[in-house]
Amino acid sequence: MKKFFCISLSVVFLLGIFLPLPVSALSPEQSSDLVQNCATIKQSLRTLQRADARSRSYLGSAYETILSKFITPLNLRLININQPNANLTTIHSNIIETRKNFISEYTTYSQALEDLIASDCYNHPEEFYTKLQDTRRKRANLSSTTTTLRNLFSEYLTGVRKLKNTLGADDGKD
Amino acid sequence: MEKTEPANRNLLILGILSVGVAVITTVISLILYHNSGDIYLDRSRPGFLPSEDEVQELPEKDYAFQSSGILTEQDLDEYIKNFQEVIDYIDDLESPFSEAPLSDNSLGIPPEPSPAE
Repeated sequence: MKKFFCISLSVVFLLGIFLPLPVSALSPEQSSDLVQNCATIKQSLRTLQRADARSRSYLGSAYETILSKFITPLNLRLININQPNANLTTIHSNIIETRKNFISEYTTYSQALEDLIASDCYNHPEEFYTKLQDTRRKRANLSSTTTTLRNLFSEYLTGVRKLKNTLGADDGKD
Repeated sequence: MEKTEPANRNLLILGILSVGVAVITTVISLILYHNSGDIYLDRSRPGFLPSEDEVQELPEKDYAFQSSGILTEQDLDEYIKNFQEVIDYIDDLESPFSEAPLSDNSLGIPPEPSPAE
């Protein structure tokens, strides 16, 4: 019996060390300020929601323009004249894949932001802040994807410049 | 007179069924509209309409590279120029999805006190 009691006590002690209780994400001061500024915060989030919809709309149409009016036609033309460019084709595939991620990440982020706006920051500031942190992570992912796309466009354009130089060199030979 | 009552009842049932079907299909449509994410792209929603001063047109809307024909240096010069304009347009957008608007500071939440304090 004594042995069982000692083992139980040890288990409880070890659990106490290795399974710490969830730590609050907000200090009491932060929590109080969040409750006080709840209405203002919600208003800021709604304004941000509208600004994000505008950014999504502008970026979406720019990405669509680049793919449909520039990248796809050039790759097709290179294939038509039997000069496919492996580098440009690879970048094209990466752009398509990243654009798909952009579309799905924007939806996921928007759902998180909508959920955040709908949550109760007066009575449940802790829960609100946890959702805010989750929304931030999703926004950071989205931002990173837009940067990746931007870099891929530059990479593609560099590839086109190299192709142009190759054409110039070939003309020089003729 | 005896035939009128069932006819009225049938008409009432038809009306109720019609309204029921309309409500169910509308609810299904709205669920699909929301879950597909299309709602977040719809700028015709109240409060999301673009204002006149925010219109930022994409440059060179008429330009489209042709997918057929021979390829010359001049074609690529024009291509690079127009492509670069679209990239510049993207760069001119005010840091889309930056961290700042969701930071504690922007939302008026004070920074967490440091352990030393």
